[in-house]
Amino acid sequence: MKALLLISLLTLDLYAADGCKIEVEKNQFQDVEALGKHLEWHGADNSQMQKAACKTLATPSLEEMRSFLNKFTSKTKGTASQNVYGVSLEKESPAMIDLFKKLTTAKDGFGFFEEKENQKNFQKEFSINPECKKVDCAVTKIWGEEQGIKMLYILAKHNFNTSEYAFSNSDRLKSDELDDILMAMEDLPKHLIPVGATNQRFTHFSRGYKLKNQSDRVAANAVVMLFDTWSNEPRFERQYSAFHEISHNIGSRLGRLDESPGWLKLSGWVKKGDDWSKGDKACFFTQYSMGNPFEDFAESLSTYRYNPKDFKKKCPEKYNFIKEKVFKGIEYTSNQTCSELPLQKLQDAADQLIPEIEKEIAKLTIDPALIKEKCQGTLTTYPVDETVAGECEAELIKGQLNKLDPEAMKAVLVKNGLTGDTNKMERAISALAETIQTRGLSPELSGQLRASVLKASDNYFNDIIQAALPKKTDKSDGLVGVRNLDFQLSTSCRVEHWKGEAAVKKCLSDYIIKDDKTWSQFGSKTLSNSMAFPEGMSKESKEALREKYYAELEKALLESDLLSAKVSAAKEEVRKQAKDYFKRTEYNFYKEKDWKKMEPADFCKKLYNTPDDYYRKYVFVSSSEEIPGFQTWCEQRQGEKKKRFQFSEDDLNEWLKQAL
Amino acid sequence: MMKTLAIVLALIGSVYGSESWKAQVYKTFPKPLQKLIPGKTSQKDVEKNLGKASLVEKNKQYYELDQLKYALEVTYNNQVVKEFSYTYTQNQPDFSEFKMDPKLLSPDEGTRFLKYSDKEIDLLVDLASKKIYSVRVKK
Repeated sequence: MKALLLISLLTLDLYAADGCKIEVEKNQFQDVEALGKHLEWHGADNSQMQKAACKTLATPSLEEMRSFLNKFTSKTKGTASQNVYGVSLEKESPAMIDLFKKLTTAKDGFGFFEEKENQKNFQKEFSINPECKKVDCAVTKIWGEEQGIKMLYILAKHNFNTSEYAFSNSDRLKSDELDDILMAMEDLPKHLIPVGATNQRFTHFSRGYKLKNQSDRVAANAVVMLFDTWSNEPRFERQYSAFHEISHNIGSRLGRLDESPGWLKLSGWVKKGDDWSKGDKACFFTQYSMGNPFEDFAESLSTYRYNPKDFKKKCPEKYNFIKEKVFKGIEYTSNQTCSELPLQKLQDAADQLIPEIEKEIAKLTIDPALIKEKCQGTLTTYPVDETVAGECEAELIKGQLNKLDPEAMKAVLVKNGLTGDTNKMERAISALAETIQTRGLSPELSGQLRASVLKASDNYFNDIIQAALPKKTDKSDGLVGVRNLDFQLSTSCRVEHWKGEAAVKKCLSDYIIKDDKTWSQFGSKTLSNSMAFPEGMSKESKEALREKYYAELEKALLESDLLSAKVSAAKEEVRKQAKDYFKRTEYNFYKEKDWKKMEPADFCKKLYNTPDDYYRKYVFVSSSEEIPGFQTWCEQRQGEKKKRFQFSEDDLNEWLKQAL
Repeated sequence: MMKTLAIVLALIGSVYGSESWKAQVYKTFPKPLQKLIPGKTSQKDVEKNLGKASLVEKNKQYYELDQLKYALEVTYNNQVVKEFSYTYTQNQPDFSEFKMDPKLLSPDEGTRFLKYSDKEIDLLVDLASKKIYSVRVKK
């Protein structure tokens, strides 16, 4: 039976490639976001994608896309009439007819040859004629106006064909999916467009299916096929994935740049047969980029586009290679550097808006709440320096720009030859805000704003620290560092009692911080890990904030009563142990001959100086020194009488009171 | 020289069938590689044709070509070529030159290529350029 089961399981895999598919188990890897974060799969997370410089946050309007299509098709002169799969197109631009044919011609999965057996008759299916004899309305009838025009636009501008009718084993893209694809494409700089090879596939694979032997984790491939895993990703991750696949095509399009000697050398890539190995000192930003030079290239481009600052810091050589060879010097470290808007025009527009903005800025109360609202995206670097404060100021200025009359704002942008396109408005406003910030408000207001931002930012981070300081130190929270304080008090910190309460607290504080540092790196539930780190904060900034936290934690532990109860209880225990020690050692001492005749100094030295070194060290000190403070007190007391006398319990209590 | 090549190509044709697309692929290799026939070519002859390998590891020899480490891997069995893998560093042939059924291709996970594999030959095709990227000849 077992053999039969095994055979039947094995035979599930015996299908050919793209032409056949196997059913996907549902609910596998639904939480793709969590998986990606855990493995550092992507070079930028959702937060970083959202605030990436010059990020396309909306698709072009229908008007803008039609305008593009008009310009595109006007390059081919004249009109033509043609029947395309039953649809009669009359007096239409030949270029538009060509686009329509591409969207509707059934081909194999890779677009090599036509599959006449799968060819649909679109007239029969969608009854396009007689009312409609143009491509614009034909695509509207098939896909709806929004989707149809977007598909034409993507094909014309980017050479990618998103039609489910054009490639076998494709399903229709949903509206938001198409938008994510388009926004990823629009994130490319002009000189790289179009990236796709002529009429290249960019479709959703049949939903509920995947390719044979394909891992469930595969979201997409460079053909380009998008799978259900991709659809289940959050929007910005989908855009990242789409951009990653586009980047593979860039590698090919730029003369095999992703396997050029220059690129291979950066990571020491060596090919042996079918396998690639990398150099020991190679720099990689994500785990995914470590597989082969092609993934390395695609991931590096995606990280360059969406998380450039961290990438530049970590892998400067790769960053510079991509900057020079792929992006031709365009950087995405700020909206100004990538806006492709002329700087002089931005400055002219900024000068016109500054008086209005200054009035709005002067009204602001810059407190941690406002900082959290407006600058949470920028305040991911700690400590807050002038650059980070500047970014936050730009966000505040942008916030005030958005409060100005939109028509008036648009008028200023258009007047200065920037843009009136809604798609690019957001980018223009971001670039404008940065220009205003760098150009400067009036010196007085500028100084005030900077000081307020720095102070409020400091308070913002301070609030994060304060919220994470412990309110108690018992075991109930289960937090690492405060779990084992009783044990520490009875072991490594016990001898500190003889130095005073402050010393005990310092010992405990050092232990708590050391334990926290050890376990935090593993993501354990530690005090410092309970800080609400801003999303997108780099490791370096987190560590810097953590160090500040430790300083505040130490202060709280030493100066407050957090540890007092525990320390007092432990001190009582030490007192009991000290008394117990006295009893044990006195027993034999006072039996000795002539102890009453001893000199005080000698008496005191020998009284508790037993061979039982181990226990004395345990109770009093961590070395073989004398019992702290005892000799002086003992000599003074014994010196009060001519003959030596046995210390009573009250005497010892008196000594313990001053010693502990 | 030409006579030798003709004999070799005839040999290859006899292995794959003279009209086979696999035989056509062979013709796109640099001339020295066209003499590599799995199961027939000796290690001595390989070294005579290609020179000393850039790297030797156990029963494999690696050759660096056009700055690609290593564009050629030759595997031996008892000092006779068992199989070899070649990555085109230049003059990549167009996939359309071969009468191969594209339905047999599938995406190569983790790269930008399409792949074909059988007992005799593995092929990687760059979909964007529709050119052959690499070939592994096994038989």
